Amino acid sequence: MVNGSVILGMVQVLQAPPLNSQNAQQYLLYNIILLILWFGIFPWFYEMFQLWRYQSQVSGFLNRLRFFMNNNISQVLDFIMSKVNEDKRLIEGRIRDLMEMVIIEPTSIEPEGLVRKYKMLINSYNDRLERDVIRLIPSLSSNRPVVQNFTNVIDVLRELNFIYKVIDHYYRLAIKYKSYYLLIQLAAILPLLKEEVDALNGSVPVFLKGQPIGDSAGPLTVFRFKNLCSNLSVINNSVKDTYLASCMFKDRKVYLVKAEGPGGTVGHLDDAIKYIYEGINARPKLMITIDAALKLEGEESGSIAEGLGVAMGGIGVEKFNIESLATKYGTPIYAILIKMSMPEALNAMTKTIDEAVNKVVERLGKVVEAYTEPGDEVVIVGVGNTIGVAQ
Amino acid sequence: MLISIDLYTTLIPTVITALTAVVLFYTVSRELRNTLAVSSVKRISEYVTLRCPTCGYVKVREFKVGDYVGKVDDEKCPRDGSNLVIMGIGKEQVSA
Repeated sequence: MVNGSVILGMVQVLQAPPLNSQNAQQYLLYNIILLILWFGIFPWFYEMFQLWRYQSQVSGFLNRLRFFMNNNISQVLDFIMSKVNEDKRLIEGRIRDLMEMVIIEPTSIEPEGLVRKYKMLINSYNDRLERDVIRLIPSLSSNRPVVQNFTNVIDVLRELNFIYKVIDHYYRLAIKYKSYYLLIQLAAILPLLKEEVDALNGSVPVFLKGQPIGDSAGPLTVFRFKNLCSNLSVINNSVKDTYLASCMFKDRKVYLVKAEGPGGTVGHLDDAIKYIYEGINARPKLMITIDAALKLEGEESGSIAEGLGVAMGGIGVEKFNIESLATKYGTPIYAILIKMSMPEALNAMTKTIDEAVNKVVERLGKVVEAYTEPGDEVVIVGVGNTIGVAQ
Repeated sequence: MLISIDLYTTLIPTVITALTAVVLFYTVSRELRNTLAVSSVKRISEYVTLRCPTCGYVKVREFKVGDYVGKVDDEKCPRDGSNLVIMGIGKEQVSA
């Protein structure tokens, strides 16, 4: 419905007396100035203001990240200085050297044997890092779990350092070339990076204390499921950092596989599964993998999802090997996922995830009963970092 | 032309001012809500769940450095005297 006063105003405008030539010139000038202001000067100011805003956002992020890194290095230094009696600057220099360590990916021009190359590279990296940590703190050489936890801390510092250097690189490029769009792209990914950086930053004290993290949900599930079994027997094997045991659950022989805790490691689950098939000559009718999975924004933390396939993150080396074994021997693979955010996955385990693990243990029993027959063999794999979770 | 003068001098600045005020109010109130929500959480409690392997007695205590899941604790079960085993370690936000 049209307002009466609006119609009245329009009529008044139409009935307005014609302007004389001087007034008309003034109005024209006035309009031209306004046009230049609105479409020439104001957009330029707007762009400058936006540029300044994005620039301050990115530089603020970099300052925050630098503060986090220095703070974490101080924590690590305090930890080391409580164990060794050496020059603090020397130790700090060694830590910074470790943070700069580079891993060069194998070439994929010829894909043949790429997975094996990755596996060798990852194993070399882990061994090298552990040796470097022992060189840094020789008194820890007999305490492997603490060495492993400390290795995780160095990993986190490396990751933070990498993020800092990459963002700083693009920030400097954007300033150097006054690239508005490069700065916009950096500012656009900042919220996601902030979440990751906060998660990494919060994980350092947790790793130093050796507490279970959200990613430990898989190994913790195996640990708790073990208590429901009978006739538990540990299988001695040569697979490094990996726990392998067998037990009886509702007349099924269950093989339990997880990384060997309580030190922070993900073990070599593919080698342990290979040992089950080719070392013990077992022929499992079902393989169940349990892992923490990153949730989507709309999903609730601690919600559980079931599916098929190997539930396992990372580069994909172990996943590939497990899939190959399961395919070779025709074993169906079942997956149970515990959903959580990245901060939850990398920080001390929350009560929600802790309770979700109990629910998964119940579901695991039901899955074993539903999809196998008495007398069958089943492999249960707890995937993830086993920090703070023994066996 | 009278209508254009009114638009430039009165209507557009008024609309822009009003919109700016609305956006500012919304942003400030949202920040305030977030700040209040964060400040209402006082501390994070790190707990350890202990269980007696024989009778199932459960106890919860504060986390200590050196605790890990599966560790046989020094603490005894008040029912049968068995050593309690750590079954879980977690954290929760506790408001004071």
